[in-house]
Amino acid sequence: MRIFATISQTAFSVSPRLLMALAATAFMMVIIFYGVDSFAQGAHNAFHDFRHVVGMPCH
Amino acid sequence: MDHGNLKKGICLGILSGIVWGWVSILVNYITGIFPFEESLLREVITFSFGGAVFGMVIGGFMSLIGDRLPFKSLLPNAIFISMAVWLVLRMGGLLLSYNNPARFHPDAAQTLQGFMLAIVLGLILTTFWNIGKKRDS
Repeated sequence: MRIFATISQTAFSVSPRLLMALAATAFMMVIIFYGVDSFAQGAHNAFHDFRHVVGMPCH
Repeated sequence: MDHGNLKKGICLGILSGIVWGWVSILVNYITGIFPFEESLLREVITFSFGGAVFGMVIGGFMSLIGDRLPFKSLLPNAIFISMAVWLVLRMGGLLLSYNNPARFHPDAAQTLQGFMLAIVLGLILTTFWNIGKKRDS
């Protein structure tokens, strides 16, 4: 939390909570776009068609 | 340009992303590049969620770094950020394809469609951003 507070105050002047939420969402985006089942079970199957349509490589 | 409000950027990004998800379904339905394997209801749910996540990241970046980009207006900034995030993700996909080509085989038509859709997200985000700005003033 402290590192987010430091980054958000020095670089962007925004709420560290919002910045942390954005970082968590970016992580979720990676899981969805690559279908990383090891992090979220079922992510691959749930977003299989989405991944193909947005041009990410898949089986 | 009003790029400073992260909360606004995130909210507009989520909204734009959901609409972008629906547009993606429509575009793919028209082009037929990838034949859908699930029901329309499930596609709408997953594309809305996936789009919202992608849009939230783009909207957030737009708020954080939009005013540090060399472009003077909203549209090129939004398109640049959307394309840049998509390209970074696609580069990661390229690495996955390189390491395991049988598992992650690339498709040129889908890649081109994804790239065009990234530009479309920039357009949708700009539209919502301008509507939000008009409502604020």
